[in-house]
Amino acid sequence: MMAIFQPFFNIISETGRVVQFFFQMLDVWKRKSISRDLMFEQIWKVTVQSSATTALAGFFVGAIMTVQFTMEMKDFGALGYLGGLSTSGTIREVGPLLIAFMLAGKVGAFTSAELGTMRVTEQIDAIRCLGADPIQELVLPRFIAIVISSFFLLGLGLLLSIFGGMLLGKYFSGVNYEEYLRHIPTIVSLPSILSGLFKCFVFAVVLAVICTHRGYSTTGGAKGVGRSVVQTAVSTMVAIVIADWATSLLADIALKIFLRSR
Amino acid sequence: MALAAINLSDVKVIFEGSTILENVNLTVQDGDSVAIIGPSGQGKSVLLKIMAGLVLPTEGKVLVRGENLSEISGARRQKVVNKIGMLFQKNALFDSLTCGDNIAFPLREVTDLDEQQIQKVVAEFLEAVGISHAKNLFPDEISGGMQKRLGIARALALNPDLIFYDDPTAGLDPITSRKIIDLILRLRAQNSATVVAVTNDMNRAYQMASRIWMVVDRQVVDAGSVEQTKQHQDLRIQQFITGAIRGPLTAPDSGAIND
Ligand SMILES: Nc1ncnc2c1ncn2[C@@H]1O[C@H](COP(=O)(O)OP(=O)(O)O)[C@@H](O)[C@H]1O
Ligand SMILES: [Mg+2]
Repeated sequence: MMAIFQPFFNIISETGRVVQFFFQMLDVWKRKSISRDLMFEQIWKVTVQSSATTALAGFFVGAIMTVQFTMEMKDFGALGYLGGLSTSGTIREVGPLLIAFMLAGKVGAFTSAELGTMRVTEQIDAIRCLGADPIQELVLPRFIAIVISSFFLLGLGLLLSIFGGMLLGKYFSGVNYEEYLRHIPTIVSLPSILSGLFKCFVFAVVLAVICTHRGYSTTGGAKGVGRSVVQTAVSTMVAIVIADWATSLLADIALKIFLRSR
Repeated sequence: MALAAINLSDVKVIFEGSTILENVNLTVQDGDSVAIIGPSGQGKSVLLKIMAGLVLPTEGKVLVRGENLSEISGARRQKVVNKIGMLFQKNALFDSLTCGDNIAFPLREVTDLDEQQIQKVVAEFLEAVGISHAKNLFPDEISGGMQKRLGIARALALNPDLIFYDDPTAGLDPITSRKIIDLILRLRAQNSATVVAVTNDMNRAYQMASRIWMVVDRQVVDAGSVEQTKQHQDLRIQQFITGAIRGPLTAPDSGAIND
C-alpha cells in the first residue's frame, strides 16, 4: 500500500534537495567570483546549440495556433481578430511552455549528461582535491548561462511564433499581414507581454537548476549518467507545468491588483 | 608524540541506506607507505576519499594532521587539502584541457606563480613522468599508461606530503604497470611523502608498502608489515594474498566475492 505513495515522497525529497542546491549555489555566488570567460563560453555554446531548434519550434507553435483559431473563428466571421487572439494565446501560454519543453530536452539533457559524466569520471572530486570549488568552476557558469540563454531563446521563439502565425494567417486563413498585425496591440496588452516574459524567466531558472543539480548529483557510472539525463527531462517538464500554473496565477493576481489601483 | 598524518576513529559510511564501512579505526604516521588491498566493490576507493575529505563519514571522525576536514572550511581547509595529492582510479583528467593545462590547473588555482613560472613547472613535471611530448595533446589522445602518468604528475603538482593512489596499475599491461610502480617509488624517494595506495597486485603491494590494510566485510583490517601480512592469522587475508579459490571470501554466506 505504502509503495503507491513512495514516488510522491521521492518527488518531495528530490524537490527539497533541488531547493537546497539552489541556495548552495547562491551562497557560492555571493562569496566567490565567477569567471566571465567561462560564463560567456557557456552562453555562446547553449545559444548556438539551440537557436535553430528553438526558432523552428517557435515558428510552428505560432503557425499551429493560427490554424486552430482559424477553424474556430471562421464560423463567427471574426477572422479580423485572428492575429490578436492567436498571438495572445501563444505568448502567454502555449509558446513558453512548448519552447521550454524543447529546451528541457536539449539544453537540460546535455548539461545533465556533461556534469554527470564529470561526476562519474571523478573529475568533480579532482577539482575539489586540487583546491578549486566545482560549484564555482563548473556549476555556476552553466547555471547563469542557461538562465540567460534560455530567456533569450524563449524570447526569440516567441518572436518567431508571431512570424509563423502571420505567414499561416496569410496562406492558410487568407488574412493579409496588415490585418493580422492590426489587432495584436489591442488584444495583446503590456501586462500580458510582461507576464509572458516573467514566465519565460521562471522557466529558465527552473530548467537551469534542475539540470545542473541532477548532473552534479549523478551516481553509478555510465548507467547513472543515462538515468540522470532521463530524469532531468522528465522532472523539468513536470516542474515547468507546475511553474506555469503558479506563474499564471501570480500574473492574474498581479493584474487584478494593478487594474484595481487605477 | 607527533601528530598523525591521518587518524580515523569509529568511522562509518552509509550510502543510500547500505553500510559500506563501519568501525574503522586507523592511523597513518608520517613516512608510512600503506597498501590497501581487498576484493572490488568493498570500499577501498571510498576509504581513500574519506581520508581526502571528498566523502564525509556518516559517523565518526577523520583527522588529517589533527584537523577534522568536515568541520573546517575556507583558507584553513584549503591549507590541509593542498597538502593532499590524489591519483583517481579513473584518472579524472579534465578532458577539455590539454595535458599541460591539466597540470597547470592546480597551479593556477592555488599558487601565485605567473604564467611563465607555471609553464616551467608544467614542463618539469611532464619531464619527470616521461610524457613531455604530450604537452599539447588532450587526455583522450594518449594511451592508458600515459594517462596514468599525467594523473600522477597532476596529483604531485602542488608538492603534497600526503599522496593517495587509487589502483594505479588497474587495466595496465604488466610492463607498463611495473613502470608506473617504479615511477611512484622513484617519486617517493625524491620527496619522501606519505603514501597510501590501493592495489590488488600483491607483488606491487609487497614492493612498495611498509604496511598493508585489507578492506573486507565493511571492515578495514590492519594486517601490519609485509612479513606480518604474509603470516597473518585472518583466513580472509590468507585467501586473498594466495588467491585460493576456496575460503571464507568465497563462502556462500560471505558475499565478499561472488561473481
Ligand atoms: N557516491 C556513491 N554513492 C553511492 N554509493 C557509492 C558511491 N561511491 C561508492 N559507492 C558504493 O560503495 C561501494 C564501494 O565502492 P568502492 O569504494 O568504489 O569499491 P572498491 O573497493 O572497488 O574501490 C560500492 O558498492 C559502490 O557502489
Ligand atoms: Mg575502487
